[in-house]
Amino acid sequence: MHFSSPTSSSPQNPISNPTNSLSTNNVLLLPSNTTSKMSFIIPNNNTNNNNNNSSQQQQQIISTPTSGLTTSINSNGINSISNVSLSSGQTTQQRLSFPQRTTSQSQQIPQEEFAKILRVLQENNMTESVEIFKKEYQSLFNKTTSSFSEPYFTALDGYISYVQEQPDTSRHEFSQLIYPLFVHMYLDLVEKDHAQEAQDFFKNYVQNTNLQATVFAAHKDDLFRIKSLVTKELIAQSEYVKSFRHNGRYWIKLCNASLELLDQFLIKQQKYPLLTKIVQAYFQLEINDGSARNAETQRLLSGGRLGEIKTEDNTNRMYYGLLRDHDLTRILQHKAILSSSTGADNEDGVGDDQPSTSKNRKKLKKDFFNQRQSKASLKVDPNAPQLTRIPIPELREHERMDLINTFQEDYSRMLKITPDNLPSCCYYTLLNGYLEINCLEVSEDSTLLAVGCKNSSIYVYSLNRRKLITMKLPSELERLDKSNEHIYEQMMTNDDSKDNTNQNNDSDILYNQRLLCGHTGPIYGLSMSREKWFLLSCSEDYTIRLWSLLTWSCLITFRGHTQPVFDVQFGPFGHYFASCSLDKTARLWCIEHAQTLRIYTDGCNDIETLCFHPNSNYIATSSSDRILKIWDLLESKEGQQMKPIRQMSGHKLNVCILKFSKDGRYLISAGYDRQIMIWDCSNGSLVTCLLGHSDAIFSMDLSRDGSILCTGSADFSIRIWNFGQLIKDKDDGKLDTLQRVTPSAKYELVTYRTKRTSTTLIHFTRRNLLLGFGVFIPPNDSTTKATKT
Amino acid sequence: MTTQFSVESIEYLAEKLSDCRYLCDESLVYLTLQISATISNLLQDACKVLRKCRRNDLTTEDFAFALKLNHLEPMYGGYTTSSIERLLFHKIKKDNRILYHITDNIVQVDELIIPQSKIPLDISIRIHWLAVNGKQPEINENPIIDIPIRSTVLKKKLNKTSHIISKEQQIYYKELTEMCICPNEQKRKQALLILSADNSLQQILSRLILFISEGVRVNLAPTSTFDRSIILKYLMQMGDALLQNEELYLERYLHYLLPAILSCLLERRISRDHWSLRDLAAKCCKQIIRKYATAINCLQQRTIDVFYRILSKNNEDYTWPTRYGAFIGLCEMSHKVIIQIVFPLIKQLGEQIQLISDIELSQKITETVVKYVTIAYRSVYNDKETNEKKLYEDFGSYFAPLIQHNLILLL
Repeated sequence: MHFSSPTSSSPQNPISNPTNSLSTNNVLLLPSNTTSKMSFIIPNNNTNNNNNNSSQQQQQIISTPTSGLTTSINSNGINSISNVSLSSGQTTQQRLSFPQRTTSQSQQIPQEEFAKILRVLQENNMTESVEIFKKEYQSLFNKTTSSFSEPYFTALDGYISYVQEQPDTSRHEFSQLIYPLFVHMYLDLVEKDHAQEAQDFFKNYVQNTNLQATVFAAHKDDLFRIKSLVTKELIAQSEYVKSFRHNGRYWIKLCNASLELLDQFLIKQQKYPLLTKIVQAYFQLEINDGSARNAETQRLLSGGRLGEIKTEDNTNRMYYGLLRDHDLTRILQHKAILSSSTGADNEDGVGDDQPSTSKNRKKLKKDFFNQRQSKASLKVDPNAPQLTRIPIPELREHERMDLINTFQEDYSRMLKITPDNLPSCCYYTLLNGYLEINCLEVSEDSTLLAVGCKNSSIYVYSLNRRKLITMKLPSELERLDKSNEHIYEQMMTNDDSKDNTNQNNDSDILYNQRLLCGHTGPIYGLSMSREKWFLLSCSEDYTIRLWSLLTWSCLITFRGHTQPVFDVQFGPFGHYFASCSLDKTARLWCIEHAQTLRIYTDGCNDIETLCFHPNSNYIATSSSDRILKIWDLLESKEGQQMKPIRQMSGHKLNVCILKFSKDGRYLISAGYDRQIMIWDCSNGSLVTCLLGHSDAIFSMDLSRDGSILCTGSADFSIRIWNFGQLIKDKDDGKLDTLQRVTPSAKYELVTYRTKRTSTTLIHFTRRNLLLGFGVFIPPNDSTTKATKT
Repeated sequence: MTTQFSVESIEYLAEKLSDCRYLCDESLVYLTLQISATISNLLQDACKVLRKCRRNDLTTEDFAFALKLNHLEPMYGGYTTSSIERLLFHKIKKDNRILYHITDNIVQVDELIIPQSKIPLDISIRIHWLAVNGKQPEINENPIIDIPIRSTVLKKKLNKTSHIISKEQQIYYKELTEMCICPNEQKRKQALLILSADNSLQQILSRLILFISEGVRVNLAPTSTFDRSIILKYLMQMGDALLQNEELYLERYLHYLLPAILSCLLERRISRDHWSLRDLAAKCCKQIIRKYATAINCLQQRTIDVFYRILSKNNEDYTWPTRYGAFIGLCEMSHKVIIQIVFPLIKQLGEQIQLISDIELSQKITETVVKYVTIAYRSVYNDKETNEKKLYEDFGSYFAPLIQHNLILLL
């Protein structure tokens, strides 16, 4: 007797509650699960059994409809109902068959009859029976069996109480399933045209305070989205559902013991076939080695739209080391060496000489590169990619000279930030720009500020008191002596009489500004190349433009994105740049070609921000499913789809900013959920999560020596963290890895507060002076009034 | 973020748009659900821009972006921020063609010349030092830090240095205090104006308060010989001006300020023009109570206790000027205080006043009592005819006729 097993095995099946007993059978109205792939990693034989079971039940149903059910449409309402409610399992079987009989029933009891009966009941003042009669009538003729959602309620309730029964140590492991189960059930209900019941279902669980705090806390953002899905059509259109249901399975990591228990509950017991079905169709359970994870760790890592990340996905090798053989890295690394030897005395007194004499420069250049090369070749970083892995143009001669100059001038005088020697912060407040200014960008040498506006124009300001330079006209350029050493300076015009419109010296910052026009939609992202020659901008008009900061004109318009472009960034060596867009792709470009080099697609999610790895071999992106992804610039094998090399889930709300650490090993991300999360690129694991801000984090930068992290937030504050110490503690194993959250007290050095400016851009100059940029938010009239009264 | 419209509003709109054709309930419910969901979706899309632009306020342009993203027709004329412009936007429908336009009003040249409308300001950048060597300088651009700083490093540093003020501030302080007590009326007024308006005073505020409290202490001391009343008055004026300054945060210094004010109010001895000094002090006291009294610090309760103790004691512990001070201190607070606390005291007070030999003194006190009590009485019993018997019952034979007389005058 296969059939008797599911009904008898459910103890919560009191005869007095017909709806409950219904639940076990009603499931069969759902599409059978034979089509869905089996997704348990653990082998089990029960599924077969289960399938047999269901087919048996189906047969049973088909066999029953012949039995009539006239009792429930008796003129005497009370009688009929009591009849049903007290009936045994057999009657419920009959009730189940209603849907198939409705056509004949509706012929039997037309509208008039119903009205008559109702009148009789009302005349006799039998309010209760009127109610019941109406309900019964509707359940018959409108096909909406009021109890349709009942199995859903019982199944989820049953699972929740099952979770509650678990010991404290592993309860959180089981509670991971509640949220995705809830969502799938809700969507199921809506898709089967039970909108009202679906709403009740939603409210019942979301308003449960206990669940709110534990299960739904990490998914608030998505819950809003789910709530607005109230009809079948909306679900079909919804991008959220696409990315939740069809973009892969919901990934859950469990320890072995929990998995076995769960297997016992879902497969062997089969108390709630509905649960089993959903789990089999949409879930993927992964066994975690060893014992159950700490609840806190699990809470931290939850928040991705599709649960956690498959461990397998993060196993490919990532070359996160720096390109030591490239001149640029060599210079930057040199500086790092300097600063680590406390920066006070620079080596051999090189910096003391006047840097401008050509002889001196050449000498410096010579021993600079030769010396470093020998040293660098001694220690080969196994994690560094080959220089040729991604072809990168060599530095031009004059660029090298410039870099060495700046090295001498700035890096040698770099401030070493320690807890006793905190950085000074110069703050640039942009006034009259609230709601107008969309994005800001500052050049690497902190001399130019670019402002992207809503009205599709870009302003470039000079932050030092020098005028913005412009290249001479071609006819004038031809006349120059090209062998001259100062050829690059001579190429620029010095008379600014025609473009210097702003003569008033009191507003000193606006001493010189340029306007770049060309876009036809709001600007969303800007990026300046490190030598200050180019500016990239991306806009709502689907295009990216490359501007020359020497001729102040647009050079190329990159077309390719099919939706507004949200972010663009130059690679650390220039030449390459990447963009991301609402068309759910990130693209890699090269400034020499108008076509896209690579397209990275992210299923169904908008890509919101991106960041280049310092070795220019990888880009990191954050998408609307709150999962961070690192992509390889190297082309994948023929025909294979680009897959991210690393994925990280843990943010609960959208990510605003990503940054790689200076050594390329760590990825730091922060956003609306106020968490600053630090990830280890070598295996995609979470190092720690810094807490402290009380509002969204918009901006972040690392000091030039990579030891200090600075974050700017919408809570009108800038916080400075001792990143170097944190990494050191982590390497020494002192960092508490079980409790991954680090509250602000431990590594936070200082907090600076602004009045009414949320810092949208933060930048360390080459001498480690901190620059903050923000748009002043004018106090809202209504809010000030409210506070006064 | 979730939006839910009522079925009624959708019904109203549906009828309005479809020329009063009715929809059945079922379709209305369906429409409501669809519209709510669509709007909710659009808002979610609009929030994408909001997030990208690092803002907190959603604008109409963001919504327009969402419409564009969903390939919906934009809402013409909805993007301007000024409501006037939005009203000017019109739709013309003729021969199945729709045209949107803004009505161009003829503007008189005169109106243009007189700059009455605000010209939108261009983006400008201001620089300031947010922090110097880990410490935030106390300048106008930086917020006043009154919450405890979590970082231990900063705390240590702040404690050490928070009482050092710059040279400029020292000079400012000196000039300001000198101006405040100089006999030149013009200069003093100017200084008081500064005190009541300048928000950069916060840095030297502690010193200013100390100046007031020390000044009061010295000048009230029995050893002081010269006419101190005038200095005290200047000091009270300073306190008054500081209290009027909306930007300042005086709560931390109340333990200096309030005793000084109360000393002036309840001073034992009589000096020249001490009545007006007391009146001014009472006004300051009232302002402090209004601004800073909370249920937690019990400021009002404590002050009332002080006054009440003075007034309720029958013996000659307190001089009449002190009692006068306590009385107006109470009366300035609120009608509620007068009704609840002062009214029961009047009868007894009247009996005592009759015993005063100094005519000028008794007259002054009587005048004030009658003035306050009448107004308060009028606010409670607003009926036109006053109950004479009740008045006598409440206020005794001394005050009752006077109050009654004044009540009639008030009518």
